[in-house]
Amino acid sequence: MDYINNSNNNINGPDHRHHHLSSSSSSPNSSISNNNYPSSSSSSVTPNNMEDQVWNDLNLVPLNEGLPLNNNNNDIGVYDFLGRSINGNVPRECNQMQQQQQRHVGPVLNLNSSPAGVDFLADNFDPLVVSRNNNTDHNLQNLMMMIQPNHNPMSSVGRVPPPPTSLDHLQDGLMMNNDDESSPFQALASATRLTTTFGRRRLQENAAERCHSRRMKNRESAARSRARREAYTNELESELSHLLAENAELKKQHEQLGLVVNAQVARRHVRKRASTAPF
Amino acid sequence: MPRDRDPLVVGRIIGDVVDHFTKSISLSVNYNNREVNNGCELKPSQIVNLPRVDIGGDDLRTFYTLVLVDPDAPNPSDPSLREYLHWMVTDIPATTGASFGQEVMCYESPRPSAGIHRFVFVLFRQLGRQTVYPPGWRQNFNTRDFAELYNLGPPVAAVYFNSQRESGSGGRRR
Repeated sequence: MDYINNSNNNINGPDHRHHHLSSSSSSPNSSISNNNYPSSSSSSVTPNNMEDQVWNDLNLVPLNEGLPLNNNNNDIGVYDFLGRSINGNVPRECNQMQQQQQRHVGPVLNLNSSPAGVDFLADNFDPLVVSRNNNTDHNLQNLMMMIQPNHNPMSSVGRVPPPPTSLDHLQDGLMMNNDDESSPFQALASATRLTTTFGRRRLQENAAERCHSRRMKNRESAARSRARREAYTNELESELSHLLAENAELKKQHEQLGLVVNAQVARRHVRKRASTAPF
Repeated sequence: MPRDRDPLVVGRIIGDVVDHFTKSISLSVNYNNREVNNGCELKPSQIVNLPRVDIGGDDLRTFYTLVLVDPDAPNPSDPSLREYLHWMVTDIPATTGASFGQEVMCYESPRPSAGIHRFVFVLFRQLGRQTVYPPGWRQNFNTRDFAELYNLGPPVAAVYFNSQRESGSGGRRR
């Protein structure tokens, strides 16, 4: 929860270049507040969040321009965030994602506290619906393409490069800044740390994919169950109406046959009476 | 019954196994005197033996083919063996039953291991006698292609039931 508190402090800073998980102070949508993650552990970061965080940070501060940061806390915030993620929450991803998914769709991708982020939420954007394919690089690209148009306040900061489609680009971009003291990338992590991050990220991506596919399978299975139940119900209803009609028909027939039988019986009696002999 | 409420449509039989058709012949399937209604659930122990199948129609000179397929083999979430042919009887004269026909693919008791499977009986009208032959294997049977191959046209009747593992409790492994 330290990380969250950190972000709370930073939200009110003048420079929002770094994006953290949205906190209750910024979003009108109360479901995103920290109160909604009572059981989340030290990091409520999901794999998506982490990769998006990194992408966002890298994209919004152009690689070649070493823009100084006014707020050192920002760096530390991100740094801590990365450090925390390196310590890993791999086994808990799925649960966290499921929890968050149940509560609200937005927070999984809600990265900044600006109004742009809120618009993003209002789109009722479901990351799982959008990114159905299993190629997480493509997913990432999709996500970035969805996110970027909303980053109005940030794009004025500088040129926003297109999201790299491979980790190599990112690595290259980061390498370029090693000698720039004030570069945010220096603050982000050393090269070795980032390498481990990317290695872990692959694992987390795979885990995310697995979660995703498991969820889709579950949905299909649920849909099949509903169809099954509905089909049986329809069948029973039609059987019922059919049987009721048959029953009514049979009762009518029974009644008519009964009348016929009674009439015949009466006639027989009459006949019998007529056959007495004189002796 | 309106099309979208037909159990065969809702249960995705029409779609996965056959296309839309109009039922023209009565088809009644009984396992141990228990009639099969669309979508009813039967246990593997109840469907071990041949069912009794009675068909309608009017002319004894018209012949029908009956197949029993499982479109959810081996697993409804991953039906790689769709459809699995459990039984095929050809040359069934109208107004009689399956016991009067030729059992060209013997009845294999369904034993679903994973998930809840649908088992579909489909009845086709044959153009003539001894014009229909079984495939060489049971899995990956395609009812539509089969009908096209032997000029059977659209089905004349169909009924299906669900079944799962004997000790199953719903579709998911626990």
